[in-house]
Amino acid sequence: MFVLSISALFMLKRRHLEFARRSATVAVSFGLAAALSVVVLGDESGYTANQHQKMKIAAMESMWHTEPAPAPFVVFGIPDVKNRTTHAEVKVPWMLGLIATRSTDQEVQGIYELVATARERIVAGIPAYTALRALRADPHNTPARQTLEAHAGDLGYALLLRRYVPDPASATAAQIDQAAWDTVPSVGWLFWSFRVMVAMGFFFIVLFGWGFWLAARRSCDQQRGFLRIALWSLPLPWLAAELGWVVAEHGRQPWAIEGVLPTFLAVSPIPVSSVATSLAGFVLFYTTLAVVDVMLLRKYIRLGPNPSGAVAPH
Amino acid sequence: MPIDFATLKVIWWLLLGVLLTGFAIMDGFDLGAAMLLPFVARTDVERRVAINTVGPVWEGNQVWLILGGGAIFAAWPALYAASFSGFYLAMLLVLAALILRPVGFKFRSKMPGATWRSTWDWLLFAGGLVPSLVFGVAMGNLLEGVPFGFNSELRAHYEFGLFDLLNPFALLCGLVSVAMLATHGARYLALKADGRVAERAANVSRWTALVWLMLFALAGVWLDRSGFGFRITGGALAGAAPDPLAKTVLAAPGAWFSNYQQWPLARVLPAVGLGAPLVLALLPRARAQVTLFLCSALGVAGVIGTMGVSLFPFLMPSSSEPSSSLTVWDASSSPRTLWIMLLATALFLPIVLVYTAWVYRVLRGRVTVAHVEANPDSTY
Repeated sequence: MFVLSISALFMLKRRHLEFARRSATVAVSFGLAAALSVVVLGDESGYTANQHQKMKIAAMESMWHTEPAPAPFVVFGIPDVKNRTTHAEVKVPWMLGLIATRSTDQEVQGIYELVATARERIVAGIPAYTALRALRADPHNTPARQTLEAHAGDLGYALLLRRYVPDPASATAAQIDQAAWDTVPSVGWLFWSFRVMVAMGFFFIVLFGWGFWLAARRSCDQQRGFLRIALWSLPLPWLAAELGWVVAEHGRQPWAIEGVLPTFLAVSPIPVSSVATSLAGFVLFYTTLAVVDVMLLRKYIRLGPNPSGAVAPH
Repeated sequence: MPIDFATLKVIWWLLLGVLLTGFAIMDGFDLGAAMLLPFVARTDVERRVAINTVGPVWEGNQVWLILGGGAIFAAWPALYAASFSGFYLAMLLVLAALILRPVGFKFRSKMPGATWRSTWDWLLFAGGLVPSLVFGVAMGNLLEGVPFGFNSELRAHYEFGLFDLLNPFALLCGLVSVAMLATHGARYLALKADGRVAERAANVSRWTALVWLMLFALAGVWLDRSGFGFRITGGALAGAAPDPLAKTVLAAPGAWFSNYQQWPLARVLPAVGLGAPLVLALLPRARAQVTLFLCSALGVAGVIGTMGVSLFPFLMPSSSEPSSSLTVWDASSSPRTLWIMLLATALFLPIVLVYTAWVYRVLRGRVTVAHVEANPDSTY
């Protein structure tokens, strides 16, 4: 995209035309191939996510209840986290079921159903937690070892209660309910980040496809409309990548390791002031570097592809 | 697994030493060269000569640090967690300096202005000085013991900040590190640069080697007088499953010297750490440049080896709750992890060494002013 955008800038300004035409042709070819392969990768991620992180899929889709298989895909909607519903939904039948399960007969579970499963696993994990403490006190406690082995898979869910009570065994039903709903990540963020990212992905296919067609007809430099759009699309791949990051990392909350270690227990015990200092330091440091970098980029874009005629760079 | 757990732990302790020594020798000379940049090179073209001696290799050298960090993460997870969290701001300071370095190498040559270039020269200087100093300071703090401990759930707590780390003994160790890497960097420049730069670097190495020798000796005397040291007094055996709370440790003044009484052969390490800078201080202008560079590399290995053997079996002693100290016996990962990684290391470390040797063979010879001036597009 960067190469295409800068080539478009040269063509708009009618500078370095021959060079810009060639580099734009290379850019749209690789861009189209990459944009198309992202669809394959995305499909693969959707399938894997539904196997390991079902809640992430449900939250991305703002799908509160399990739909009959094959599940529809929500193209548009307004998630309402407070009332746990989605308004003004526009659905495409079958699509989510096909993406997430690659079948027409398997269900994609909704948020309510997944929360119910989480509640069961929290309750099942409490004896494992208690048994683990007993084993710490006495490593030869055989019944405790057996209990731990039976429920070890649910231990992580019991740890979710540590946010509310020091000892999960003394949790109330309301606290268990609260912890079960904690397994739902921020639906609004996921829903919108995912949709905007996917929309950009399809936009890239259209843009590179258009460019590819123009390049094949050797008329890239004539289409000022295309060139303007190509120029202003420069930051979009970066934005799409950031949104994908939001989906991936926000979507796995509250877990640092899905089902094993909650994030709030995984953080190191360093003071907030240290973390704030480091964050402020990084923001300042990288902003400075970004300013210098953009300054250098502008300089070299102005100089064009053959700078040795202008100022010697070294 | 054909090797028992206790032996595996010792093998990984040795490998940690190999990786950290590899880092100090390989990345050490380019950190040192960056530190000396504003002093041994005066004109722009001289500075470009100095930068281009490390230009093609600093990136590969820095991978030794990543490899060392990765080995601590995988083989010594408890040490990784305690040191990276405990030394949080110090680590970030190093990180910032290490990020500044590549930017400096790459950006400096992008603009012709004198102010622009000298700004980056001084940032490169800082990028070499800060990591060298902080690594030494961290080593000093390990010898003193770090105030941290674990609760019954093995969650760590730390009772110190960045400025507590900058105490007199730790700063002395930091200066040992700076003098050592400056010497090593100077010997590299004397070997790889040409003309005035190589000459000045050889002259500088005499004085930095002298400082290295005196400060390293002073640190040894200080260590002897100070009463730093810890000893395991009971609890879990060497081959037991790693649990940092399953042993008892007491402060034991002088304990950092006990390994040299038990294994007299280990005295070679501090002897080399003192002998190498002595040779370099006496013979800075000898013709055998490669030998002198290898001599400083050997000295670096001697100093790092001294550090490791003095602490053994401790990795990160705790001064506030000694029994929470991390040792070779209780901070490792599982025998299975150590074994698989040992196989991977046995396979890949030789490959790494072979291609590293090949790269330096390709790049043999000096970087000259004429070469830099004739190749503006392929040099920094």
